[in-house]
Amino acid sequence: MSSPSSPSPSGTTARKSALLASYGYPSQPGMVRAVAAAAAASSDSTGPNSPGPLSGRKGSISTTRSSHRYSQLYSMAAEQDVEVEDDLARAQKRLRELKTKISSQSKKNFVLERDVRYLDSRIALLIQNRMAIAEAIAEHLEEADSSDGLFPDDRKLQSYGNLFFLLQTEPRHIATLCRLVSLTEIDTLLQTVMFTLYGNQYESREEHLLLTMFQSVLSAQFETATEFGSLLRANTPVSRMMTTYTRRGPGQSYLKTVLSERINSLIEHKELNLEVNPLKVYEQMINQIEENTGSLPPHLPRGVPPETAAANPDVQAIIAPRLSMVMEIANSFLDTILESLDQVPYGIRWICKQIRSLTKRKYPDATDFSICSLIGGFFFLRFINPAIVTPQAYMLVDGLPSKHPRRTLTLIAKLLQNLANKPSYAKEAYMMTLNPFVENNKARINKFLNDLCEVGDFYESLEMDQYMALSKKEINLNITMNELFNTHQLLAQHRDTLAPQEKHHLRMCLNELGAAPPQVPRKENKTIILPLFSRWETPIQDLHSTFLQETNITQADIMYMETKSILVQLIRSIPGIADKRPLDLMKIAETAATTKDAILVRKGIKVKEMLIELEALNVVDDHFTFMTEEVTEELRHLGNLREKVNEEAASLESVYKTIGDHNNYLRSQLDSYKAYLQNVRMQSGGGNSPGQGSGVGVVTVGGKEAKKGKQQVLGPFKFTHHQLEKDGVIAESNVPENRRSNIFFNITSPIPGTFIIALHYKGRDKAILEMDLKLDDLLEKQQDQVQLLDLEYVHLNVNKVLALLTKTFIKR
Amino acid sequence: MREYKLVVLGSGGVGKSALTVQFVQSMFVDRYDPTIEDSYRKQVEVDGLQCMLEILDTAGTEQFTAMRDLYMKNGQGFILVFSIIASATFDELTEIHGQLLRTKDTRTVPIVLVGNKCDMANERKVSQERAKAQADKWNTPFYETSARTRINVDEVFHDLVRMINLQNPAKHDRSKKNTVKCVLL
Repeated sequence: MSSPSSPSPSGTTARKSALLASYGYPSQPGMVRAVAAAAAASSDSTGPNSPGPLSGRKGSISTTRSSHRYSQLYSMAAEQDVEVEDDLARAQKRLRELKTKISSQSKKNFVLERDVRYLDSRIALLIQNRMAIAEAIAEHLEEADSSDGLFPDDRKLQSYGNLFFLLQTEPRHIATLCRLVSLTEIDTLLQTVMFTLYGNQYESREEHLLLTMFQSVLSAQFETATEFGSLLRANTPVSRMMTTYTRRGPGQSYLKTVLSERINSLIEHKELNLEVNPLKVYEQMINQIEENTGSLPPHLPRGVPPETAAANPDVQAIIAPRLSMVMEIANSFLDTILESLDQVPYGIRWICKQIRSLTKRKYPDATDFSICSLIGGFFFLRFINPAIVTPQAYMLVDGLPSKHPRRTLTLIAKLLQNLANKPSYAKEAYMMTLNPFVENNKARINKFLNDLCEVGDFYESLEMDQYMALSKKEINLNITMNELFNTHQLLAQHRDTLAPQEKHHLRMCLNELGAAPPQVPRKENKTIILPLFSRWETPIQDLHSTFLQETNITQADIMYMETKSILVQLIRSIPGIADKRPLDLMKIAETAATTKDAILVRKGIKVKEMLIELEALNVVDDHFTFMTEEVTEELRHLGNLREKVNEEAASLESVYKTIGDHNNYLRSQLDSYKAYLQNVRMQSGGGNSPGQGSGVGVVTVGGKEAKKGKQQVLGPFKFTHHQLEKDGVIAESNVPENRRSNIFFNITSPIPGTFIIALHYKGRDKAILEMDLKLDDLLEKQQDQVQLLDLEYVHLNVNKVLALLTKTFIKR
Repeated sequence: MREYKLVVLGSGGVGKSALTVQFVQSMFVDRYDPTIEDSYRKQVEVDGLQCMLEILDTAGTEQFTAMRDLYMKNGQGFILVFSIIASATFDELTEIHGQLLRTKDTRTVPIVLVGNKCDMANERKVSQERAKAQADKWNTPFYETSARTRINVDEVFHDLVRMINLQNPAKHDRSKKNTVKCVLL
């Protein structure tokens, strides 16, 4: 979120015009839409716009709300100046591209995750034997058509454009809908809302509208809560929203910067055992003794109660140093988190703030202590701790951490959670031994949780954002047909709750659209471009005149502002021109007028004339004192901005890479599921139910032994060493370089689901080595995150082998 | 003495910990304290046999679902808990049940379906018939419990032990089929 620092008070009037200057005077129809969008959003959530009167120029200070807004606008307009091509402009361009890529990639990941969940449930149903195979594998395996489509009916498209305009600008509709739908419907709705409707994760306007929607859903949850203890506890649409929200770009990059280094350095120590549960320690100890001596001494029986284990002096001796180590590590995590206050994404802090204020309103008697535990219930339980316990699921580490570090991470998360919740009773007795950690950090954590809530509201900036929306030529949504129809269907279903009155705009849109069309098959689910507009807002013909009317700006004001804006442009375009301070504005204009660049020359001449005219009008003094100050201030602001932009871009690069990696991982998971389902289909002879009572992977048909005669041996298919190496199937090879050309592999499938990989050396009849593979076991390896398959001479990449088998045997 | 690895699964706030702590320590934890992962051990006598139960109480918070796979792999018997006063918690078990079958790759996993908070029947949202029908479909026993008033708590755990005994009288490991035959060069 870019919220520019407050400029010098003298900048107030001037800043307005930069907006005009850099946006130009619009005549495109798209602009009218955007203005209407802005107006509607404003009337819905911030009340009518009534900018105060402007109190003049030449550095006089205006303290009205509107002037503040415009001054910010000026900076934002300059920040987005498209005519200039300096370092800042280039850095910004790179940043914009990155943000767009991240937004669209996150959406793809969300869709893939949903597909994985879907196939997961299909497989479960299959195992339950309650579903015909053909049905399970149906259309879902087909690739979606990624090409852009055209909506067949133009009039309908317009109605949808109007409908989605309402949804985007009036978040309360979606907020209400989120509370009405069931958990099974929420995924699809959230996809549309978070990645399409408010999909631009880095644009503050859409972020703010999304948060407004959050607030409304959250407060409804407080309304319906029956007791304090059950608040925000259950998995509801709200919690699903929070999950999805915390996993968008900003949340993801916070976790990565703050946690990933700590976690990675911890999991490096694979053998570091920090178990402090006496029962487990006792068990590990006697197992070790048994292993070493071959038997157990009589005073160390198995299966002792916790108290006995805890009383054992050897166990105590093992645990004591571990306790201090666990607390030390937990402390280091806590320090890092507490220090990160300023990096916590605004939206997440804002949600904390809402939780606090809703609690105070609904439960005036709630203690600070219990309010903090609710905030901790969101921040730690739903955001930080899941990432600590399962860092692999949050893409903070590569692969599943090994057993001991995993346990240590769990202990740390438990400690942090205990700290945030401060339970009066330890369910597990041994956790009491770690209590010093809680006692020592109580005060710190309460302060942190309260500080988290200390963020400003965005209503002020929301209003400003609406003006920023003006810079968009038009508002379009990239939306799939099914997203469109699904949202339509849900809205229609809850029409009477959402818009009970006939005259309601939303209801009128819905009436016009009629019944929602059914979902289309996956491959017909095209993405269309939906232009948003509203037929109910009065189009604003001319942005220029609107600003004049709204703010009583005089022609002289406008010239002042334009002059300043052109000067800043010139300085940004001509390197070195502003190296000397104080700035000599007239000299800058002259220098520009004598360059070789025609555009700069024209601007230079123009700005010089304007300076002279302003002087003649007595708008500025002889030395352009105020204007020089303002230009200098602006340049300083833009300079700082460049550094910030570069920093942000660097951190986003890494987020983008992470998201890309996750995308690959999801794809491979999806491929293996498909392979699994296909395997089932082959085994069952196509269309029959799978074997009763047997695991899916077992090669029987209909409960009987498969008839050998019927089975067809597939293959062998031949692959050269070179080819497999190139495709990444061979991850490592111990075969000497000069022999590789003589090595080839034959893959056969004697019975479905079973494969034989044979390694051959040219000229020899017999295979050098053969390996029997079961698809099941391969899938299990993949599940267990085993990466490599050891074939003695070569190591094969499990995922790639799966893909190769699928490609070779299943798609034929 | 035979050891049993039991896992308690279910949505957030349904009373998994309350149920487990009531069973193991015979007390009711009133204050809500979200679980990340707790483990307990208790020795009980079921049908005249001494058994050592190792009970894993899991996180209901959906953000921790990535841990479920491991629990499911390691566990032998599962208690699927919902709250009779929140029907979403009942619906959520379908997903958990599905994942369980897929992870275990078999239809016959020892499972007990539990509807907790039956002391609050006046706020009931899930009918006994509905839950019973689901249990029949899954072929599992169904109990309504109250961790607060200790109704049916022991029954749930004991029944699960019996199911494991029935299904798996003697321990045996799944044999792995990866065999490497090496032919000398």
